[in-house]
Amino acid sequence: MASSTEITLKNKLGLHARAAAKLVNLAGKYHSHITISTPQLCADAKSILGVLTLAAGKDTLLRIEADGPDHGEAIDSIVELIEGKFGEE
Amino acid sequence: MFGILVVAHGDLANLFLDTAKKILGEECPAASAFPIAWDADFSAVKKSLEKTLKKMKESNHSVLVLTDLFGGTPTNLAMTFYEKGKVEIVTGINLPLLIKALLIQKNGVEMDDALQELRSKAQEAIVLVSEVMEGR
Repeated sequence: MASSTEITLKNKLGLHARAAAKLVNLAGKYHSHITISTPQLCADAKSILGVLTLAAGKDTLLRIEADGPDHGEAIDSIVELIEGKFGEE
Repeated sequence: MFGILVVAHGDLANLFLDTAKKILGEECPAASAFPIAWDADFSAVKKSLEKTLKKMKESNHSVLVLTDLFGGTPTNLAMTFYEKGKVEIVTGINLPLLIKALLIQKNGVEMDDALQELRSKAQEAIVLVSEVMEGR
């Protein structure tokens, strides 16, 4: 009931405040426990202050893990958000 | 649900609230700013604050007041309206504190249960970047 993937942040500003809020909002729609990690730190994807502490800039490799009933959809939609550069560029 | 009122010197209250709303991408209808102009008349502002708090209590049951500086006029004024469980005041606002407060409000958590957590999250959010960099 878990899956994970890795993705590189490609948007210019990285995981900045508004991008983090979008990600947290999206993660909050799923029942699964979701974490986002950089090579150094790990954060609960449903906590905006947690996600911001990752301080993940452009080109950071993120690992997304989801554990729960909707883990697959959760990962897919988060990847889509990141690949779409958070709808910013 | 509780209301949130940001009370601070000059334009700070509006700036804090506008910035947090922009980040969250939400309207946050039960949160307001109460700016206190530098040259404001103390007793007039006190009356106006009382009125604002009364209105917020009527529509939200209780109010969380966030002020900028302990010992400053906005905090001193707000403190005169402190009512346990009804008008709670947290001073030393920072952006993480306000964002956390808005999220707690949205999630329907009771204000009393949120106060300690709010303080610790706001304190944790003050970070020495040097420690983060050296930890890497």
